Amino acid sequence: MIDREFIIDCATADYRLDRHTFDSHIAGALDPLREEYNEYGFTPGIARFIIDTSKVRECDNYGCLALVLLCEQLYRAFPLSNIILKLPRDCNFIYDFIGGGFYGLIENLVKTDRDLPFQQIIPTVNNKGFLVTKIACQDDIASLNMLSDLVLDKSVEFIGIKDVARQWRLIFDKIFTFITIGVELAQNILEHSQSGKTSKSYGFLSFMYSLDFIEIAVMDLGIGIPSSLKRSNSPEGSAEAIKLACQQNVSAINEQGRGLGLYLTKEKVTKMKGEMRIRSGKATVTFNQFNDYYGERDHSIKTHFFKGTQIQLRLPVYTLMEDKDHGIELYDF
Amino acid sequence: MELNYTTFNLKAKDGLLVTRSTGRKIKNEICNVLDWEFEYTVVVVDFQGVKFIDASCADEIVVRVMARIEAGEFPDRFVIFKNIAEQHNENISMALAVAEKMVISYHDRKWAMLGSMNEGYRSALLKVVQKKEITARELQIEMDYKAVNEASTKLSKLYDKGLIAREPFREAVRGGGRQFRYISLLRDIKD
Repeated sequence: MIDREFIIDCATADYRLDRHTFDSHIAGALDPLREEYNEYGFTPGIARFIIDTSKVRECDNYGCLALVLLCEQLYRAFPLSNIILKLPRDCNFIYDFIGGGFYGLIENLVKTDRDLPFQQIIPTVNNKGFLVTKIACQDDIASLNMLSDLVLDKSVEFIGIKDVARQWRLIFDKIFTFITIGVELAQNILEHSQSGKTSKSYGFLSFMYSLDFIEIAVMDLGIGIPSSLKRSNSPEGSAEAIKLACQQNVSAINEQGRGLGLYLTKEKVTKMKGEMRIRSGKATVTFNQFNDYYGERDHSIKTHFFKGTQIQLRLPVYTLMEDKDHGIELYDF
Repeated sequence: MELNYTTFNLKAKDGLLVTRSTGRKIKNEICNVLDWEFEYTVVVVDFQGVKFIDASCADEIVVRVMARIEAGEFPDRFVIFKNIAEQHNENISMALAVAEKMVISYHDRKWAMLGSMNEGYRSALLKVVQKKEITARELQIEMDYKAVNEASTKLSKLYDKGLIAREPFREAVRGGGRQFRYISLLRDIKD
């Protein structure tokens, strides 16, 4: 049972979370807590800390590092505390944690070989449900509990989809199908990313739900798509490599039948009128029902270098309502 | 000649058949059954209890097993699928379409063709299942083909793809050509 709750507000006048903010604003946040702890004393393990970034609009790498340092200090001072990160509005922790700042956070976790420092991550305002999980081995994929929980309609309150499922029973299967696409992407992390220091690869998968859309994102800090395809396909540049990776039968593993996953994912998501964004190396490429990478409407933009791979799938909820099932044609025998 | 049926129940942790390595393991188990069984055996792969199968797993369990049958690795042994729901169908059909293969699935005395195949072959298969067994000559008459060769080619191709069985029929015709009676894989199913 939690009997104390502390809110560490990261809101600043300029909505930025950077070195200055941390030094002047957040670093001292623990002092009054320590004083209170010393004065009144509370049992370690039953205090909850909420790091509130809901009003942050921009965050650089140092800002993210600051969050990690803050968590470390909390753990050191209150070893069994429960730390919660309250996210900025509409923020997907995996894909776009306030403009690339998440990269710094993850990199620091990777360097120090730690998991996410937060026991719970809660969304704000528009985000109705949110889940982030680490993918480090086959068991993590096979036992992605949310999948079976969704089907069995139990223990799903924490990702907030249960109510929606009750209301829109019709689209339940489609939401499930969409989520399971994430499983395929998570598999890619283990097979292709080479993100671990040794042969072990790992990454993160997030699932987010709001009234308007559902979204899945996976990310890893591995070698990235351009490097992965370099040996087998020699693409010209990052954007070309991403486009190539989304074609049928293109894979870093030279084996018949490989190279289906990303191609089918793209096909399914665009067919469902959704959008797939892939960021790797120097490019971000977006696929949707209108802009495929073929022809002149190449929808790629240059971004700053990202050595791993981020894939974001977003599906507007209205498409789930209007998408009709194309059932199997059955015959008697 | 009667077809024998052996059921292969897919076992899935939490009902999820995901990842290529899982699929590869199951594919090998199915192939072992095919290898071990006698001729004219149909292995029924049952999806009861499977909640979800991803495309990689479908590629291994469905497409690659069919590819090995098509390559003639297990002569006169066949695979059909049972209890494939809409949830499974999407990924299985996509994997089959990419590989340009087709399989037969059934459930409660209803059957379906999953995957991709030329419309001419589909209608020929439909006729074989309808008639339960058929010769090339009978198919030519039923489908109104111009020549018996057309029917013969279609049936032969469906047999090569592991979608119908066949048994020798009558004596060899003059010139050494053999005649066959083609049999629907669903003909002797009891349930």
